[in-house]
Amino acid sequence: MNCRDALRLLFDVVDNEASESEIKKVREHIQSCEKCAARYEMEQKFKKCIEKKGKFSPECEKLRDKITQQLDDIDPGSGGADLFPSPLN
Amino acid sequence: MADRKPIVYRQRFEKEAMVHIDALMRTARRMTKSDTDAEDLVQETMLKAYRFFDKFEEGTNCKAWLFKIMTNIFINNYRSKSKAPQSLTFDDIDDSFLFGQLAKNKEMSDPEKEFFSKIFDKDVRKAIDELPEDFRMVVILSFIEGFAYQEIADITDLQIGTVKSRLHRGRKLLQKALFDYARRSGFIKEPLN
Ligand SMILES: [Zn+2]
Repeated sequence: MNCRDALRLLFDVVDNEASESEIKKVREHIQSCEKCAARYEMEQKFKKCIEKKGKFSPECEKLRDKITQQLDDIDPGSGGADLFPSPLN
Repeated sequence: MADRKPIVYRQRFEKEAMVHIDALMRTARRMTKSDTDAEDLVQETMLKAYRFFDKFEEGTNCKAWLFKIMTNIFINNYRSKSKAPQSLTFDDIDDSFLFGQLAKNKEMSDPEKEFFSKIFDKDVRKAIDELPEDFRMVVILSFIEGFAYQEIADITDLQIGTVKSRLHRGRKLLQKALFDYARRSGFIKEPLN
């Protein structure tokens, strides 16, 4: 694998979408290529940083209680056939 | 055979669906940009999901199923009908912009470490919120909620190739925005070139 192939697979690997064999080939390449190793590390750190800092826990205890109460009045499975109606244009 | 007794549905729904209210709420707030609309959207989503819970295939990803229901309701009822398709191009940002900028910073000993440890939570959230809507959704579903490309394609009704290209551009825009925030906050110095 050369640098071009390694970078082509960059986001598939970072996003956990690459196959086992692709991951193995990338791993072999970045062991001997400092530049690609640095890029992979940066993109992985970036993704983790966004997840950690961009994720907040909304306060929704009240909403949860409200919904739980409303479930009492609903017959599960009463929705019919049209779960995903197409947009009304 | 699934047991069709309401009490069993109720228990399964509370165990498998109700646990995702936080994630739905987090994303609904970003979709609607309003706390009240977000609560209404999540409520409508959960009640609809319960009514259709017999359609949920056991063993599949319940969180993805709920997000698809929510996205569908949002598109039909909340999003402004006049929304024009976005045809902006962002190809002026280099693919390795952030990497290049951080690597160029020779006067700092470890600019990458500085960048990732010091960037503010509020700036990360603001940068996400300010992404154009099409990119924002896929970025949130991937980076924040951890869905796979195929799951995002199912939730948003997009082709997987479109998901990948929007995610790619979204990531670039996010990196550019965060680098600008970092520079403005002063913990990343302007590279001398
Ligand atoms: Zn390389």
